[in-house]
Amino acid sequence: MLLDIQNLHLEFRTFDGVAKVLAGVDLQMQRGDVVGLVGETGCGKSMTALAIPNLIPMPPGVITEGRVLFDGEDVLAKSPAELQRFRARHLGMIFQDPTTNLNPVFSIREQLVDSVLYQRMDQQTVPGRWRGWMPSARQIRSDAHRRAVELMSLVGIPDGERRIEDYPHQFSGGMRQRVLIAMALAGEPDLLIADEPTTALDVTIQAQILRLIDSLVKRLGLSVLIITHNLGVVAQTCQKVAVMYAGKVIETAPVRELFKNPRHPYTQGLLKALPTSHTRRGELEGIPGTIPNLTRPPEGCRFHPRCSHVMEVCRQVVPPGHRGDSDHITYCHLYGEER
Amino acid sequence: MTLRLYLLRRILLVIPLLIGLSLLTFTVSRILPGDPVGLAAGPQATPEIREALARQFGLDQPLPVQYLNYIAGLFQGDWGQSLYSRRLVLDDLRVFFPATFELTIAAVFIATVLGVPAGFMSAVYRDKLPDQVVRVIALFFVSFPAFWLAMIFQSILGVTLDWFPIGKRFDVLLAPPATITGMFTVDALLHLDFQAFGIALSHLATPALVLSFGSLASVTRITRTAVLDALDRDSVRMERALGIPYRVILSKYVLRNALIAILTIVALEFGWLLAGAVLVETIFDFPGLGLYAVESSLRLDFEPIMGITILYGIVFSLINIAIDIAYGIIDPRIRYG
Ligand SMILES: Nc1ncnc2c1ncn2[C@@H]1O[C@H](COP(=O)(O)OP(=O)(O)O)[C@@H](O)[C@H]1O
Ligand SMILES: [Mg+2]
Repeated sequence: MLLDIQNLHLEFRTFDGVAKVLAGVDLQMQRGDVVGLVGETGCGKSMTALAIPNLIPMPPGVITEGRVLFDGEDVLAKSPAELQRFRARHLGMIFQDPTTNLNPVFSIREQLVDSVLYQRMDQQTVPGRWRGWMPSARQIRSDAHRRAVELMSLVGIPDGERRIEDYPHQFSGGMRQRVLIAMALAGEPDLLIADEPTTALDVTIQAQILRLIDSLVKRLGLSVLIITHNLGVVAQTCQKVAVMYAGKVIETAPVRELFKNPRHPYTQGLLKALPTSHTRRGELEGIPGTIPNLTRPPEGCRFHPRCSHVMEVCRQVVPPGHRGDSDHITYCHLYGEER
Repeated sequence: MTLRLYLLRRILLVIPLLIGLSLLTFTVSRILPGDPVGLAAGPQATPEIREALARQFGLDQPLPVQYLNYIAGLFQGDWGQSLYSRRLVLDDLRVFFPATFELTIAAVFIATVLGVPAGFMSAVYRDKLPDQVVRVIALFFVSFPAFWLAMIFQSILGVTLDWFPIGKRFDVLLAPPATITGMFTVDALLHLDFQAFGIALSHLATPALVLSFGSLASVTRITRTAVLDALDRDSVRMERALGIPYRVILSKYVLRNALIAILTIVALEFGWLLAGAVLVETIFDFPGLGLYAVESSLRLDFEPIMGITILYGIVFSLINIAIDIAYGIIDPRIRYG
């Protein structure tokens, strides 16, 4: 198993109180999987994703329970030095806004070459500037530069040789996201995490970026976790999908299975609301009510106040996962006990 | 627009600024009550002597004519003359300005070298022990009156420990290094006279340290804020996710992002200290522009006052232009225009 998030609980302790942001997230990925993580804004998708490289801001965040296993190793138990190596070697991550995620005062070359240098070699062997004149250092830097230009062509930026000298503001939004993908891929990661990679982009550019991710999956055999609130994106790119609601994964299934046979009442409502997956903020068509306040979440199943099939048990007991056929897991009392 | 055109325009724009500044200073100094001619001529002077003196300095002319004469002289390199000492203003400025300039540079250097690392550390260890310590020390420096700190440090460093001499710019029994820039430390180095350099530096040390205190606090505080802002950027999270070592993120990416704010405060402080060195110059009997300005103002000695104002105007304009150029070097998004 490449990624195994087990029963992850996260709280944000702020002056406004304790927000129980993640309440027992379970998520598994095999090598080569392309998984979509969907859910409404604020349901904890980004925090789940940030837990994998252990980048949740702590404080105010506190992980109270659970584990994040990557290739069997507990990420949350790693020392800072181990974490840095782990992020460099095994993970690539891109975020929503390609403008703020690039540093505006450094050229693409600086940022991309650093990504190559620090992801592909031990940090002690990266030649610092003060050793930059030594022949070995120049060799290392020019190799890294060549690799950086290769990466630019890999992600479909034409004329990389010349454009690498440009600064972020000289690129369009879509091209900036490509640059960030190139940086994330510099260390040939096992897993690419993409947190709403197309949300900040124009519609036509969105499709191009999704096609790029698709082609990278095919060419490099990359495993990808795509976070989105758009089911259309999932349908287009993923093999599996995990649906989140208010800090918990409530259903996971292969994409076709989920679209054909949604089992959780929330997922059913979500699919009914397609193609405009959300109409008004926090209110889905077909599901009355709004997402709960996470400082005082409902007992039992967090969806129960909005659920039309609500039973007495739903108000008291957190539903366990029920595994139906073909990898379809539903966390809902309607389907009974585990297994 | 090219950098050269931009510079040319900025420098040309300084001229109207200086004209406005000089007009203002001229008006204010002339409408102040007082009897500068009487002060300069002395108590025994007869009305004839006073009239002659006034005529010699053109003070008998109508004010607009006086002003135009002054400006016309300025364009020919004539900065006027002191009513009181009869010395040429330009000669005085040549002596006093380098002294204050040297003092200010030394103070800003101290404030930067101590304040930037302190503020940086404070931000990186936000709310932890190093941050608390730095903040308490900074508070200490801003909350005690400057003159009190000045006297405390003068007596500790100059008397109790006897590390540094008190007062003046150089050993009174020796000749200072021959003038090149007028800044004694620089001139001594240019002559490769290291003994003179040591003497000049030891005279500079305590006043520069004391002068730096106020700036030290603001440089530290602004650096802390700027670094916190820089650390808060999405790009820092991205760099961490990429596995770039935190040490490199701080010393390369965060530093450059915070640099514009740091540079601005350092330059601003330089301006403040240059103009605000009076107090320290007085306490340390350090013959600089501040003391000269105070003495000239007390005597309503018009032309030195005008000269000092215009010189400050020029220096401030140059600082501003230098900052703008530096912005463009640090941040490639900034275009001159
Ligand atoms: N730094 C923080 N402090 C307090 N609460 C936070 C912080 N970051 C995120 N949250 C809360 O955590 C919840 C989940 O956020 P997030 O994972 O970003 O949602 P999503 O990505 O699904 O839109 C939200 O309710 C948000 O308000
Ligand atoms: Mg998010």
